Amino acid sequence: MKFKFKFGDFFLMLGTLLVFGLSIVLWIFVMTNDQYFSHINQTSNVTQQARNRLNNSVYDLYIPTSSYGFKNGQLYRLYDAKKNLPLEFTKELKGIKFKNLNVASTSRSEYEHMLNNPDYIQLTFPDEVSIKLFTKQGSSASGQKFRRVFISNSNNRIYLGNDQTMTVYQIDLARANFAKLRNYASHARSKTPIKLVRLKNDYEVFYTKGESWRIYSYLTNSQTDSYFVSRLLGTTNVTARSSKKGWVTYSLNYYTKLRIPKSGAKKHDFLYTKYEKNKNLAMHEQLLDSVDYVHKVGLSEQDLRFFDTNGMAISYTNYIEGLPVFTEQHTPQIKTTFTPESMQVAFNNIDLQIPIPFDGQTRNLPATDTVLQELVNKGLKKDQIQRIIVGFRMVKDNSHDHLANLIPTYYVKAYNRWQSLDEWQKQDLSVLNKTNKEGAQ
Amino acid sequence: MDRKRIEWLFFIVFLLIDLYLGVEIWRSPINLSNNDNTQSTSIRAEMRADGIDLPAHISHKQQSGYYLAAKKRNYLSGKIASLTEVNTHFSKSDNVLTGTPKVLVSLSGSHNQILKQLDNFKNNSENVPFGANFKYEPRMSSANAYCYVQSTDYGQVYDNNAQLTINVRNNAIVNYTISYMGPINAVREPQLIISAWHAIKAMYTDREIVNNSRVIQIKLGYSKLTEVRGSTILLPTWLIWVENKTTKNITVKRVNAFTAQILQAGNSYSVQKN
Repeated sequence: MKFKFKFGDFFLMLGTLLVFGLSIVLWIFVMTNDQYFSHINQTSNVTQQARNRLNNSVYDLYIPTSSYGFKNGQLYRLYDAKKNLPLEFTKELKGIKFKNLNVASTSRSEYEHMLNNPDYIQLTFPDEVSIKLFTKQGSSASGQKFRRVFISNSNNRIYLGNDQTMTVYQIDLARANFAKLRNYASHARSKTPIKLVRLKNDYEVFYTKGESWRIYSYLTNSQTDSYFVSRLLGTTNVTARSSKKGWVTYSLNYYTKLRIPKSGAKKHDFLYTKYEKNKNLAMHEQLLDSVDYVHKVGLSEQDLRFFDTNGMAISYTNYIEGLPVFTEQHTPQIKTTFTPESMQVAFNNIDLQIPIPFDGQTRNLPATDTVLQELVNKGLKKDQIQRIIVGFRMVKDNSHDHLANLIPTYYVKAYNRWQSLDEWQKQDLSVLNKTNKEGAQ
Repeated sequence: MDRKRIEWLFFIVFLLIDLYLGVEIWRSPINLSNNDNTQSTSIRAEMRADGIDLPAHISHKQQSGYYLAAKKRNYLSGKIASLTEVNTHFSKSDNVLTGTPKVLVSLSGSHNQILKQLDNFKNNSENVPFGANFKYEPRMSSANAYCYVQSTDYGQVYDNNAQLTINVRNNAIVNYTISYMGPINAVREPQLIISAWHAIKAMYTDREIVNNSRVIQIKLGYSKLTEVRGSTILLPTWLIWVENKTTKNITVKRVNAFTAQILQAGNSYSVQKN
């Protein structure tokens, strides 16, 4: 009996130790499993989820906007209302595996040989983007950028061109098939003759003769102020303060603010500011982080595309039939600016909502050489002209409350500033040239 | 004896703690993993828990779609003179033409054979105007009403103003009603649209799929958005056929394939089951 008693005592002790040990193990498991504490890390989850959304939509914002091809030795801007060539390319990209990346050439002569080689279809981004964004490979710190994609007859490789450095990169591919794209390009219904001319940093499309451009119309939609306040600042602890200059500033705290125009001010420019110490981000990271904020604003992103960058600021605007849309204040739709102390998002709340069938209205624009000559004659220094493009100026149609017409217009970037041709012609360039000269000294 | 009691107490308390923690871990109620596949599986599991059945395969692939436009005109009345094989009645108010065969048009054979005979009937321009532009839609048809939707180069249009219904009784065509939008063209170049799975997710999160129902079919088609400057504007929509498991009623819901927003009032309608 005495032995039996000790045996039971031993098992009771062992059992107690076991359940005690097990409870510690289970407790540690619960404490270290983040799914049980996801509510505590809500902010980081939101960021991570935004990044996941980004993975799906990054190609929607950063996609080529123009395509070019040769016929009988002449370079043409390709356009087909039924086949969106850059979109086809983007769809094709999703199944491709990128392999080796090598520098193929770095000389101007070889770069220009590529530009004028009729064996390639060219797709271009409006400005340089990081190669990593495109291939999801390589180091973001390497800073390798490109603007132009050259598609040859081979499905095993493509070439990426950096207009600024005149570097050509070769990327080997697996599972690529550009046959459909080549077929679309060769059968593109609209072919506008162009030439590529080097301006300050990039090769720009010059239309070799005057062209008749279509005027498009859209029904527009503007989200309410409260929509943007709730998306950007939330719904609690937000205070509002009006200024005499026609703005209302909503603040979540001292560091996070949204400035919106007062109702009835007939302005549509919103400015979100978040004061925070920012790391010096590589271009690739900046392009990705910027998209998070674009999503956060909540504008319609159907036609929204990456448009321009100057290192600190990244602009996005709507692209209609391959051309960018400028608001009446000649600003892009949305612009994110990263500084060491703050992050700003400036945006226009007018969305292009419903396209209206083309009613036959067109506008004639002269050849780009003529425009360049006019600007030079006016006093704009040729070496300060960075870009010349045809874009749409969004103009309110007075016949309808929510109707806007998109008028084809030349837009010129000089002195790091976008303005329409008319605005440059009215500008006092002597002051600008003098300021720039002093700045250079 | 006291020591033994304390040991028993410890044993029971820690055993209960273990049981509680074990149950908590086993239940794993919310999985907020950011992996897309896990998220998709999680939503599928949630839908299953709500009694919502889904088709075995729903595509995750994005396609492209267009804004389309059709000029608002009376296309049918001008064709009445050429409809020599039917007696016609045209309703100007709703732009619908009704045709009744002058001689009996009998139908016989299997379902497929009947469809072939109906195709021959509708494709004859002396019977039905623009009949060749319409395609059979089984999900909107019943035993006595064969429904056809207007077909375009860009896809099929699902709208009351672009529909042909052939009414059948006792193995013969009774009459038909037709509405026609006219030639349809793209307003702008194509854009990326959401995947079928994205559309289902949007409907579920917007509580547009009721519990205890079955998603029967998901199809891409064009739906009317608005009318502007004398044109009807159409946009790509995911049409989702949802059957209530209890009542067996089938409802067609539409999701804007550009924005993933649900198209409301007037854009969902009930259909009879075959």
